[in-house]
Amino acid sequence: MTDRSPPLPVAAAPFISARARDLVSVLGLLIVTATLVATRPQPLNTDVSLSLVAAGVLICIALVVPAVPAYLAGQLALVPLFTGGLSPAFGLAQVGLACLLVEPARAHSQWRLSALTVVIGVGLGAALIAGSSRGVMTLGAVLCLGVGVGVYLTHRFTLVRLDIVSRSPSDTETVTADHEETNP
Amino acid sequence: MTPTARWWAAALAGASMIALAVGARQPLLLAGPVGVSAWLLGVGILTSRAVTRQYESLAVAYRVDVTNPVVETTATATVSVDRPAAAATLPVSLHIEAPPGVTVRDAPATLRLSPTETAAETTGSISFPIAGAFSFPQPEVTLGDPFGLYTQTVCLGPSPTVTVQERSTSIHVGQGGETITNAYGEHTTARSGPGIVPEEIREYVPGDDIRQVDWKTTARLASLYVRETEAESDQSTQLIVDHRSRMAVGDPGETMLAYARSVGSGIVRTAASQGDPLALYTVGAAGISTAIRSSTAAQTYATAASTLYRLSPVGDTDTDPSRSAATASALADRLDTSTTFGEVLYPYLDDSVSYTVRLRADPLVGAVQRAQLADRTDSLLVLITADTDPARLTEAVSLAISRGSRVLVFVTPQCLFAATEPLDLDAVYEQYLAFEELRRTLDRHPRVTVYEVAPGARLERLLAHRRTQPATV
Repeated sequence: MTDRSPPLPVAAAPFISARARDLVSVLGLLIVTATLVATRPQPLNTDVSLSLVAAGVLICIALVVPAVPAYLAGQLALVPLFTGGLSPAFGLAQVGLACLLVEPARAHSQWRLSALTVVIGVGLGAALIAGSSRGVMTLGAVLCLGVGVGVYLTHRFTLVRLDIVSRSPSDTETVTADHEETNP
Repeated sequence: MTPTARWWAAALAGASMIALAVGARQPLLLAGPVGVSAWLLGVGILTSRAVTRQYESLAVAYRVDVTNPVVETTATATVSVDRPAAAATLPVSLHIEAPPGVTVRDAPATLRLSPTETAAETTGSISFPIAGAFSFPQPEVTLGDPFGLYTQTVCLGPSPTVTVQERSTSIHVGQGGETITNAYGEHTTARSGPGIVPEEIREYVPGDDIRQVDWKTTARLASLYVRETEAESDQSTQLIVDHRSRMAVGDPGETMLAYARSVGSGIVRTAASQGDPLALYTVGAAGISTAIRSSTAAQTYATAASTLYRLSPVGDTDTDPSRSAATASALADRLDTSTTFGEVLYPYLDDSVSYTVRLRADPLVGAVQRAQLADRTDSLLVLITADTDPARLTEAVSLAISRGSRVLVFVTPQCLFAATEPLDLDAVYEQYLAFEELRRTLDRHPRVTVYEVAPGARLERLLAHRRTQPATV
């Protein structure tokens, strides 16, 4: 809320750590790797080989960095090799990456958070697929807008629940004016 | 809830991937930002609920314990935060701020609870350098999620209030235990002259100013009458304040010098309000430490007041007259005080008072002499000192009246300052009687008025004891 808020006692993990992934996340990355190898384009030319090498590097990176960068690295590894668009294999890889994304929730035993993240992700994904004809830029903008609105609503909702909603000066003036009219 | 830097880093990474998807025209790249968005929103929604529950289960206690809330006292501030074990899911930090005017000495300003801890407490000392009503702000409690993505700050807990009173010096200025209300103030002259206070109406004599003619009386009595008014005069005051080490007697903040300073400041204020010329001499161990020439300029009163405010007791050690205060201080700094040599020599060099005039005779007598030489003889000489050396005090007063001055002496009886609790009231009363005898002796001269300056409460206690047990003395 304010800049002078003291830092919270939240564990700050190192950005690169050999023990960054838990077993489920490693399994998820193995699924991604297997999917990539199984669905690689044929024949195995130079471009495909380079894409596979790049994907391998990105998956290695995903093994040692925090969950969100690891998840994005995994997504980057998928895209060059899935030229055919949405497919069951792409969906399977997404399941593997979802295991990676919710790894912090798993670490804190927050199963509801894991489920909620998956539900929201599926919902957003479905919405984007439904509007896929609008173009990538429109979809990206809608996604940004959706997150912004969602976070703002959560913020306002929290303020209301904590009963610390601040009244804006214009509201105060209106209330004062009304009061003066009724009680001259 | 406010997104943290970690939230923005994740959002920026997702936004970068959206930019990449737009640049590469690859809709599949949006899968990454979708996941990140879902994660950020999911954490936000559940944190909002958790923060609300945590807010309801947190118990914050904040109290300030002070027994006698007067200026310069130290108080203990205790802040604690507690929550049930079932609610220990979120990290919590608690920030405490002191209101302006309160000095925090050693209390940490922040308390932290990790997601698994249930209670924390901190205690520290605070002090109140000034008087007033102080309302301590409620502690600011910052709640967040365990992933460090959102924080929410709320004010929670009590807001203690402490009313700090001025240290009660209850200064007594009077004679023989009787308090007087005005020892120094408005004054009259014994002669007529220009002014506004009517004195008399008399018949006109040649040479009178025509503007003095009282026309109403002239019309009534059929001859010329003039109205005389009392002449207005400026009472030139020379204030001499003793600040030798003997004036350091007394409890901290209630020394003889503190009382002398109060009386001196009152005289400066009165002189300023009356527009009377004022000169100030402060007397140190070896002579006059400050000399302010007589003037009615506003700067003179201000300088005199600030000089009195800065006065501190100075040692009675005799220092080399050829050495400046700065040189003495530099020499003292170079001394190794861990050795016997340095320890013995240090007090002789640590005299940081720069003297305007060094006097070989008693400094107080010398100061009176200087003051009289510097000003005209019909001025009022105000002397503020202690009764430590009655012979020198008598000599100083005798010298003052020998030049025709009127003398006002304020004396702090050492017996009323030096005694420590519990007081031996009978012994103190014996000493007070000796002081009173000295005061009466000095006061006997028609141009001399001597007042005692003492702690009112202590003097009242002494006199009350005397009244209840008159036979013991």
